[in-house]
Amino acid sequence: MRQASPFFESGPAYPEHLGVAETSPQEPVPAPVFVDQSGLRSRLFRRLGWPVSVVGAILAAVMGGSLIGMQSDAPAMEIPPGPAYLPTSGPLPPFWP
Amino acid sequence: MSRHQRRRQSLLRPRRLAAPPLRFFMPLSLLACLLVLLVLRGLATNEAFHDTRIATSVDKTTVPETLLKGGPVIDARGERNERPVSYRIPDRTAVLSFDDGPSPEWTPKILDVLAAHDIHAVFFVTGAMTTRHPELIRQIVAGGHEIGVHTFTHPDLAYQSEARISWELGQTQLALAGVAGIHSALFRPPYSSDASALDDWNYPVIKYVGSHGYLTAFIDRDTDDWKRPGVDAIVEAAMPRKPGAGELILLHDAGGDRTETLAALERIIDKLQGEGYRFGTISEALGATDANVRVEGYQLWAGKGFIWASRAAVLTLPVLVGLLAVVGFLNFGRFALMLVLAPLHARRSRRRDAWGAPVTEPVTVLVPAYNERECIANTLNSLASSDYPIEVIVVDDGSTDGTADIVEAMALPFVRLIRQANGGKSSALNTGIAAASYDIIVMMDGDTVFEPSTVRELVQPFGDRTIGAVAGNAKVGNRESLIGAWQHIEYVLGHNLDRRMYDMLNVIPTIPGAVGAFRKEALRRVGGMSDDTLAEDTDITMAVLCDGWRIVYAERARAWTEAPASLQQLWSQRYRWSYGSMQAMWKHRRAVTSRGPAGRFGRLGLPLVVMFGVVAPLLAPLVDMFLLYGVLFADAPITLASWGGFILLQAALSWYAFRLDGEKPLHLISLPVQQVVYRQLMYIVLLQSVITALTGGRLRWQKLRRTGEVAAPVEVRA
Repeated sequence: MRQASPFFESGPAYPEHLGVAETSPQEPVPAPVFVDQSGLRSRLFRRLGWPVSVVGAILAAVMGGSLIGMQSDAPAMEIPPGPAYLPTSGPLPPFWP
Repeated sequence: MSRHQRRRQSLLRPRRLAAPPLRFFMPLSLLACLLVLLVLRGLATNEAFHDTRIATSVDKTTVPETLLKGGPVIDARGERNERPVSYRIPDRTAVLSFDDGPSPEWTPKILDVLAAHDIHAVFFVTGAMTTRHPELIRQIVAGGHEIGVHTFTHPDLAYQSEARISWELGQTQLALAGVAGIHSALFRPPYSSDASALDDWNYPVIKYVGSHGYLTAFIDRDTDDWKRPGVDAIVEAAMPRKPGAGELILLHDAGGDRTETLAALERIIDKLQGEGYRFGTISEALGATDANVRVEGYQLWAGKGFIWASRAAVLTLPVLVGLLAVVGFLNFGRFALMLVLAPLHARRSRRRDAWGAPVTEPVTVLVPAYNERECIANTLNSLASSDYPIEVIVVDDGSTDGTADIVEAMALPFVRLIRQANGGKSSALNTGIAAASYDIIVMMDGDTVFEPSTVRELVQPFGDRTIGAVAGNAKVGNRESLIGAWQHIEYVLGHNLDRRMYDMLNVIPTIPGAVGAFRKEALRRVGGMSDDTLAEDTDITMAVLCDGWRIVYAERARAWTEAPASLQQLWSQRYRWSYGSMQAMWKHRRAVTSRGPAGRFGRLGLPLVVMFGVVAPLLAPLVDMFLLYGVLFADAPITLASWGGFILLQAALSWYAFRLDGEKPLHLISLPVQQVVYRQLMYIVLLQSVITALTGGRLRWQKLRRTGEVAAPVEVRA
């Protein structure tokens, strides 16, 4: 027994294999949900995604690097030998003997 | 959620593995950024690496006598590392030092007092405070004061490794370079007092720090101002033991209310100046070159980068915490909804007369089959022992493995076989629906096995005329393996709690392809199965709901299904499910603004499914990031304890679900492991399908959609 008439009142996808054999291949088929036939969205994602990811990766590496490898040595500070003397400059009160 | 397993893709068209790496690289690099930001924020707020232990040692056997009795400034640099020397502050000289700052509330006030008297002091700052208050450091430096390093996180260094000490020093210098463009040669260990307090534990620290070029500055007079002993006591403690003796005075500009310190400071300065004292920094008092040295080039820019990143981290944290709160709210909200609604549902389903008079009229069982050679016989045999009158229609969707021949050879009297050219599951189901003799259609998969009572239990709700479809209870048969056990847990939780909850709200979003029943009238009104989406079961369920039918869950209608046994199969199944569900949600998005039953589903069911099914899993990696951060950098015991608490809560819920379903709770032992492997796999799959959806990429199996192909269904009486 062949299915003669469509059983359903509506149904966009349904008739595809029942009684629409004559559909010409040129007729545009509605794209399934989400599918972007033009590929525009995909290109946009790639164009934006790569810089974002690369910048993200570099940032993560730099910030991560700033947490581990650093200069932990102090700068040089000269202290004169012998008893400490008083600096000749600086905000010293004038009454200093 | 259980659905039909389409083997056709994995057998005929192996999934291409050449997926663009971007879809993995981007989430990974963003997550890495997130984790680093969390650590930076944790450092700035002194939460990461926090250590509050304070060592107490008494032995001083290794400390030279000269140091114990010497001045407060100890030089163990360079060739002096073996025999450190100490310096005293010269007579009638006072060095004011402020520890633990800078603090936005008190440091500016202290700076004002110092400026009013035109004197310089030393601020021993922590890296964490420096990172949080860069402008204060700049003010201190601009005022001519000296900055000393007081470590980054303020731990007792006696407990820390050399690597950690080195890190504390370097990280603080980095912060200082970033905020003020300087490095400091001065160091003061946290929890230190005067040189006589040197002991066998902290002496090696001083020598180690000296080997890095730091001059350690202890104190002569400890005011104990942080204990807030009263202004008089602070002033008294700051006075020299011997009149006229030089002294290094310890005060604090952070760590609590410093009103007393501020008041005492004014009096200390007045009093000492009255006694002929002059005030200066340590380098001024020692006549040394500047302790703060400008840095250039790499050091400067690395520091600036660190400070910018830390500020960004502190600013982004509220956003992250907000998102985390969303996840928590969704998870706990779901748990709460389940806890309220599941018992109500369980009570309803115990009532045998819930749907009116028992349904006894025969029904059609539809079995779409595509290459189900291994399972189809079991499936049909299980239907043969059904205790309910049924007609079975097997629609062979162009199988290439002889499935149809097996069905034909079995020659079961109640089975009709329809062969059709391969057209996809939806078309196979539509073929079957068109051929069905009865008004109620039960749908099952070719790899599913029913119990004798499954069909009877499944169709009883149709006694209520408003019910358009019924969801059954799909169970995982192969639960011996770990991956099977995880899916078992997920199925029991998903069916018993989620679906009961959705049932009580009348918004069941999916009737599993493995076991479900529809009123033919409902199917006809919504136009049958559609192949717009990869999840035709979700699609049709939503359509039936939107059409105003009620959908309920029949927990006793059990169907045993074989869950994917390998990670790759599981991945591809879930990829399709999540992608398909999102397609279905998107397809029915207009329900949100519709009137009537569709609007009810659109405004209640859809948001719930989107929140629990998409938003919560998409934000789930955030939870793992916080977990990772908590365990590795912050308080591991507290983090693990709260995580354990969450797992316990989930285990309790799962146990309840298992009990409702009459399952042995044995399989729940794999729940903790499920949380650290399976859950991640699930959200990675979801993320991948979201990316595919956003980019509009065509999934491989979507190419199966045939257009303009002649498909003559051949009906054969088997």
